[in-house]
Amino acid sequence: METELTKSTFSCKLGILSRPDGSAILSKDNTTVIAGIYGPIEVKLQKLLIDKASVECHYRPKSGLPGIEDRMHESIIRNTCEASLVASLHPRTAVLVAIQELQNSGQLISCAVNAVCLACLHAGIDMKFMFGAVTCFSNGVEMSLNPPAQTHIKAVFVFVFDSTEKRVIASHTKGIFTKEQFEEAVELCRSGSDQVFDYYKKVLTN
Amino acid sequence: MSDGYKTLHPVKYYREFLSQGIRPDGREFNTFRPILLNVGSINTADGSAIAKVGNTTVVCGIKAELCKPKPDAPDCGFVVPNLELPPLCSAKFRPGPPSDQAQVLTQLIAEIITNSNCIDLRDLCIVRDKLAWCLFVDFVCLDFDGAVVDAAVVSLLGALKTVKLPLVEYDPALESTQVFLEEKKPIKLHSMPVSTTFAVFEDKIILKDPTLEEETLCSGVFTIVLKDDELCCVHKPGGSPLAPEELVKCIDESKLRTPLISSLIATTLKS
Amino acid sequence: MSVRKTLISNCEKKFLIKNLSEWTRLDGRAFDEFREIQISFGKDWGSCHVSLGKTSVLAQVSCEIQQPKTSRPSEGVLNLNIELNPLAAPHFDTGRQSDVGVQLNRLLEKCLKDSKALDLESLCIKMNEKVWSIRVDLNVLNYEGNILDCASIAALSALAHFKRPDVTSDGEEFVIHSIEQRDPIPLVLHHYPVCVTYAVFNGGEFILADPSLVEEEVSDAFLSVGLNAYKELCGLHLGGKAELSTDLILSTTTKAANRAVLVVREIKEAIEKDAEKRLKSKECFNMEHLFNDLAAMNLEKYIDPWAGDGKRKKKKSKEKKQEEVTTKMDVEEVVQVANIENLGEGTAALIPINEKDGSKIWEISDEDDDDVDDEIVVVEVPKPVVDLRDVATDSEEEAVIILNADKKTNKKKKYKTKK
Repeated sequence: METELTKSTFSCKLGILSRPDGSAILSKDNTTVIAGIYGPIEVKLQKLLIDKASVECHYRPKSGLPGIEDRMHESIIRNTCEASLVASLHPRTAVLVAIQELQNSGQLISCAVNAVCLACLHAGIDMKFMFGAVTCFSNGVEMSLNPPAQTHIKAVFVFVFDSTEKRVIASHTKGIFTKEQFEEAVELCRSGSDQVFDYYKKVLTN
Repeated sequence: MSDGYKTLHPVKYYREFLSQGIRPDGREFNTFRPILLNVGSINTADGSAIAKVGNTTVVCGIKAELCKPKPDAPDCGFVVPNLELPPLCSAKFRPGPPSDQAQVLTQLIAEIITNSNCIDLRDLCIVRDKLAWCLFVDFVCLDFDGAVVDAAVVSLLGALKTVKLPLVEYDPALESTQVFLEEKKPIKLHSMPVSTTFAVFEDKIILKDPTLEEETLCSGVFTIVLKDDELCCVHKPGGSPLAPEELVKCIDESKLRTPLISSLIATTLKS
Repeated sequence: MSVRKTLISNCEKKFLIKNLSEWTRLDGRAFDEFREIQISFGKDWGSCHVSLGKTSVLAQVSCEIQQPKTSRPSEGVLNLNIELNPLAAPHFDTGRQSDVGVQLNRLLEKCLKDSKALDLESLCIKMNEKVWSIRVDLNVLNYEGNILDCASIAALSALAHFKRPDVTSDGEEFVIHSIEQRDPIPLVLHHYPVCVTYAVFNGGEFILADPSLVEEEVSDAFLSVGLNAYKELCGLHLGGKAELSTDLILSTTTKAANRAVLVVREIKEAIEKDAEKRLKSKECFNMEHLFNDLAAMNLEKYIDPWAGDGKRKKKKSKEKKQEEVTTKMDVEEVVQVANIENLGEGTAALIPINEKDGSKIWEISDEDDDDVDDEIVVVEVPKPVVDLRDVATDSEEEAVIILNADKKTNKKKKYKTKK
């Protein structure tokens, strides 16, 4: 049973790209993602919404063309942004969120979601709340926020929380688990999200 | 009169209904729509079913083909799901390559199949490293009225239950295969995943089994998939935030539905 | 709100050209001065990030085994694919490749593929059957002019850095050895060609090396030269509207050749450095120049779920929550029961019933409307049963009728009148 934590590091830099209005590179345990935000910008006619800004999300894997799994990542990130951004401030416009994977050593979704939030903060776009994603692994007995080294992984949970009330914005699961394990995972990730939000603060105040 | 009001102020229209604890189609918040299942609907397919959840209609057809297993998984066959949202099912969709929504739904169903482990890919292998079955599971949505995943999963189970694969013999010396069409065997279903979709209206009210109208007006939709007493998917792709307790409550609610769907499928197959 | 594609105004154009006539560029560079190149490698083999000034491109090389082309049975395949990511500029679109994308792709192919820089024969595993196919994916991350040079450097560095897994044959079967099992094998490069781009103004009056975004937009034409470290030409492209004299092209190409030598030297140095670093430690490759002025923050204490008090808190709150849930469930007492109707011929229906008031809410009955009407005053209530009637009309009308046998006759009449 694994109780000892592997060393995990976040590193982040805001504004690494000059073109986007906000950009961030975020790296955790050798998973690295760049996110950029443009917005509000001109909207394509078929995506125009008369009462709010439409959120466009583009995710690029580092090699090959984006597959249906990447489309699912896009939909999670797009819907999370839609919930968080005050879209009604900019009707008939678009907010473009672009994500590029640089390195993948697991926990890609949570890294991408966190990078997008940091890019939003850097862009200074109006948000109702910040959002932070945490991944959690279960081997059927124990839960851990770090990928267990050897033990067999039975389920993986990814939760996105809002910063105000720590409610679940998005959830994505893999594997089989019981209701009790689900509750435990939510609770563990919820406490883990505090640390993500603390990290955001640290990045912004530096 | 009410039609005009509904068109002009759809959200207000819903809000007034929901404040009275009822939905415009007469259901309560946690009532689901009737489900209709018909199996063996397509003769040319190896397995098929039509499922209706209210108006939402999904046809599932399974075609089995012989293929060679991948070198990194020599004892596994394949299951390739694909969900189509043709312009026929809703005015929202245009002809052409699959929309983002269709791709996301396809991926969700693929994840449900792998997570629930309802088909063991090893059962589909005929000769290690040489020959295996590839099941092409195609879904076509005929009417798009919310909770498509629920309908798709019910039709998937119905179709899988009717699949019969012919006996295949492989001669390693000649590298030839012989198919006996007369001797057919069903495949083993290891579990029965049951999916339930919920929608969140204005951050507060949770509606079970939403219609398309409800899905579009609501600020978030999520799907819970159960396999007997265990969960195999809690998919909430964003939308308005929800307290974890609410999610757990919804899990309990969807648990009530599992035995019903199982007996529905059993009844369908008996007749 | 800003438009997706920024257009350059006439006054900006005039200003830029006037500056050129006074021998200055907007960013203060000399006419033949290039921006700084930075090359860094990622954790995986063949993953490389190159920035040229603020323009940046990510390259990733991948490989797979496939059948060779029938015309070249003993040669591997090299594919180059440049993607104009919307991250780089908002007018870049995903999906179909734009004209600019196609042109860039072809120019890169001319420089790297058609110049036979990569030894394709060394990629052959078995004649006519199995060869390696090498794919280079180039993602433009930031567009500040001169994508071509940046992408060609990125592609070349990634190819030089990439190592493919070893393959052995035991007579019949081929075994691919993972990187852990056997040392991977680098690709064989005959020479190192790179693109060097110049922007041409006023029919050759001014020629600027490594144009920036604004300069690219204003220029009349661009001259792109593919060259290797031996100063051999492997690609020449003059696009746009300019009547350049042959002398001018020759002199520019000579200048470009000197530049190419420098660039190739830089690529080789970067690869050597990376190899040294990998020997020293096998840990942490984070495209370090992106982070250069930021010491990685150690977050150990931030991500510590097992920290003493955190765990205790967690348990307590969980207990509380469970209580809450159970009580809630008690209060509501909405028990869902449903009828399952066997309709014969492989069909069955699951119809929910609301137990609270005992009514079958999915009955088709117009009388039901009345009691709902009482509750809602503001709006006229549509029939609560619309959905089901549609279900029923689709050939399975019996599905519903069975539910309330007493109204059976009634119903059937209705359908008839409808039809």
